[in-house]
Amino acid sequence: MKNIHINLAIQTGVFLLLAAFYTQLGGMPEEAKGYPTFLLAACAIVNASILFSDLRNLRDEEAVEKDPAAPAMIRRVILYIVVLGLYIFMIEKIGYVLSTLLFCVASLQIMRVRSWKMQVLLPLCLTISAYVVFSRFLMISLPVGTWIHFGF
Amino acid sequence: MVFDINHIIGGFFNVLQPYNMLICIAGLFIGVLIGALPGLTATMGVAVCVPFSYVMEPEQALLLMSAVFCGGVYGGLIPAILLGIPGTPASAPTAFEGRALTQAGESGRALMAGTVGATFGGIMTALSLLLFSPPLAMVAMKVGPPEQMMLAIFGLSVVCMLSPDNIRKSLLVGFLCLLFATVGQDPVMGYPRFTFNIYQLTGGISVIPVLVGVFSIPEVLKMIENPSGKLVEASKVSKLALHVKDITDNAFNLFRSGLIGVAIGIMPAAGPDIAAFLSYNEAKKASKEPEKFGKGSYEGIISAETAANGCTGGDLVPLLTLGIPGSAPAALFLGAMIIHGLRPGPMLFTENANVVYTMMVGFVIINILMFFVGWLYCRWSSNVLRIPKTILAPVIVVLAAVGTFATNQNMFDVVTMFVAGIIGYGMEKHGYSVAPVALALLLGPMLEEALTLTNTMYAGHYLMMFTRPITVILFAITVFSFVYPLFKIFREKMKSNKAAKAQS
Amino acid sequence: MKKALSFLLALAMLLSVAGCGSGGTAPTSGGAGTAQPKSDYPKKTIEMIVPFGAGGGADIAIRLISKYAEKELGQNIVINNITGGSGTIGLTQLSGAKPNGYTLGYFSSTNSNDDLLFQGIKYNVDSFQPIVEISADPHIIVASKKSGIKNMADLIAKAKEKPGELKFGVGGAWTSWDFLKIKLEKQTGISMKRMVFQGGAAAITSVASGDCDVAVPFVSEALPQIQAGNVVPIAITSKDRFDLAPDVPTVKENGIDFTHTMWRGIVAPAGVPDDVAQTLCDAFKRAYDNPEYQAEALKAGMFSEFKAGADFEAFYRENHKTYKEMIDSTNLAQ
Repeated sequence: MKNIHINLAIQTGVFLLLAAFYTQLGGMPEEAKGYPTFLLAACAIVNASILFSDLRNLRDEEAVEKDPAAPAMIRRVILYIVVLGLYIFMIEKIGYVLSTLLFCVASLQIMRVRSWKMQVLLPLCLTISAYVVFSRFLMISLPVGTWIHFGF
Repeated sequence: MVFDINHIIGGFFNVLQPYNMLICIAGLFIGVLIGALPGLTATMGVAVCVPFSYVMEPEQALLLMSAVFCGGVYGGLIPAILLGIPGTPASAPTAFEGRALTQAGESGRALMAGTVGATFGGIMTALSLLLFSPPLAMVAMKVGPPEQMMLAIFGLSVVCMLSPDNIRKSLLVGFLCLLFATVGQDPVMGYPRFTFNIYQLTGGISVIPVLVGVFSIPEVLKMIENPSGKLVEASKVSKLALHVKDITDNAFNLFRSGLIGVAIGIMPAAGPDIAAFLSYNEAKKASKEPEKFGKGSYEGIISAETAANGCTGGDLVPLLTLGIPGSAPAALFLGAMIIHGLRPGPMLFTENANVVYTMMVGFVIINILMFFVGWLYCRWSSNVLRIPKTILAPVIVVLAAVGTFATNQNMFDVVTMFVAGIIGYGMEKHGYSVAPVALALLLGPMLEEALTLTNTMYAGHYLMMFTRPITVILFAITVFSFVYPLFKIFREKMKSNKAAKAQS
Repeated sequence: MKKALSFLLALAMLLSVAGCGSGGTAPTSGGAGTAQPKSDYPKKTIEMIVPFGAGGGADIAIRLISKYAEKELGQNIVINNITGGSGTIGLTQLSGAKPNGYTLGYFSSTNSNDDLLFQGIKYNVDSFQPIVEISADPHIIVASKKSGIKNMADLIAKAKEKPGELKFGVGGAWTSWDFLKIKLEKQTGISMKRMVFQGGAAAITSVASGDCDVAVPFVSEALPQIQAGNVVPIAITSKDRFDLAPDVPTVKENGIDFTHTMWRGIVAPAGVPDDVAQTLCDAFKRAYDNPEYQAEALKAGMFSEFKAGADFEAFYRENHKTYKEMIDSTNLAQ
């Protein structure tokens, strides 16, 4: 995929977002409407302007040399993003302690850490110290999970 | 009430008592740490102190909170320079510069430059609080909706200045973020706009989680791109080095930034983050090497940190003199004071002069001590650069997640942070600058509220707005700030035309 | 790795030193009151949700009474500020919490009708169980020096002169301020222009600078400005004059039979067992009766008033009806 195609996708995505917002304008009282409407228009104008320049450059843009390491890197990043998402989702489901432990292990795996010591010590230290500071000292009740109740 | 030397001296001796000094130092240590951890902000640090302060005497409680506040605002500088992740939003411009400097092996010098700037700004604001509160309060009172509107517009115009080569993309980000700032209840009717039936959005998109996400997650993902090794090569972990030249070259910068900090501080609803951006922008305009900004400019770091720390005292001026909390930390101070039986306002200086002057003098001393505490922390933290990325990445994620959760005990904030972070990463990869996000989200609500109120006040006769002195000044500065770069470009073109003509 | 560990250790030590140094708030078990709780409630920390920011009127009121109630209950009360949506986000969280007595929250006079005032609210008057009322704070009507208004008669005259033009500052959409305005306008037959500020502080600053003509802040917000002479106090909307502002007449004294207060109280999610509710009522009553609390509350500008249990429940329902009628009649519902 050329860079320019990604850019076009971004502009289109923005237009879709603006359209979604536009549909919400219907129910609004008058006083609340004016300012967001102005902003929607401004976004649309600027976005259109970028889109047109991109379309004009579409013809001129040359294919960029593909970096051989790129696909592996992109896969790693996307995998990490998924793991991050799961972590945040899981905090409320299985509790802070368990999800943080799992997340640390996953993170180390993705970053290709081989040493066993690290894979055990880091998750433990990190989870416990964060727990101590936040839960005991700052008195913030960290989630204990709804599926599996594991917490203090 | 202005220059009460007796009380100042009394306050001075009070602060120097061993237990009080211990509180100041402990507070600074705690504050800098909280400010340095991404996900935790200075406001949260102060909030944490409030319950602890109940068992203390009023002066001690106020000293502790002041120390944590100042330390917290300062602390953001450390990860900003070392990791490129601002510990608090006010250090975002520092992060832009610090990243490049650390890669070049100059992290030590950058840390010290920032620390000097922060201390200078802090001392300036503390002295303003101590000596000039009444006149500053008068000015603060004159700030009404038209002034806030002009300030917001001026602040947003900075968006254009910061990335002249990619103006349209920055504008798009800016407008989109202003639009996101309208999500939630509107200021006049309380109608929940754009919530798409997600009830957590009724209060709007929380700003701090977005900023935490947008600044930390992309850095973590960049570590994933290249998971081997440490952030910088071993040879480039530099020792702390204070270059006096950095100070002398930036003398004017320091003063200007400090003034900007104090001015923004006394304005309600504008805090260290806005001061930092505005000051950074001014420094860029006044600089002889503007192209260095974004690639490692000491001027940038100094201007941002000085202004950010120049805000802390100013924030408290309207609170102490008029009982008006102009920001979240000030509101915490107000709460703590009332619980300790103090009532902010003019009576405070007569009924509880002792306590107030101890706090104000303490503020000065705290900011002086901040230099040393900061120096210590910088020494320790430089070792972060030796930590392999494999450890840093999960630590930052966990801190960001828990820190964001801790602010409002709300998982939705964490989700917001995550989503913002992913979008921020995508933005950076495709040439969209992240700075407008901070400015638009911080200034957006203020802009709309001020706009609506100004409209109510001056409907039908808008030009009457310009009978207000501060509005005129801000308007002039905004216009000038738009016109000046164009003027410079114009002058350059004239020069090159003349040179081309002379040659032919 | 070693460095990270040692750093973490140092951090833990620092924090524990700071924690020890300030003494903490560990209560003695058994409580200071004479009556021992009949059940084994409470046996752990109680969470108190305050739907407004730290340092505000709601927050201060709750912190003050919690300080004393902690001793009566024998457990810590942890204040949790969950802000946003004009208080609706915190209250939504409260309404969804388990009704076991370990989550309580701040409530005020307008909240039971939030589902009418704002769109998309999932709780209503039945989602909560009222526990205690702790204060009923009046507003002080202040005017800017520029407006030339010196008393209620001036205010009404000026408003009648130019209907819809006198600028009336409100501290937030659909708060007690707004309802005061509606009640006052209805009773005196005037109409004023509504300016919505974000918070009482902004509103009163506006009056001080002359941008706004009239505002109705709470006593604690108004006092510093009145003492500084920046605003003109017109009247106070309580039944009697306030000790800390003895020169301000009541609206009643000015010949208009009008009072308006915003009451503040504590509620729990609906379905709390009776014995738990009773324990809480007793504990808060003892805290309220404590003369130290009374003194602190007065200094904070609170008008202490107490109702608990069935009394408060009746008042809660009555209040809900009154406000509902006001909202229906002025067509505010969205």
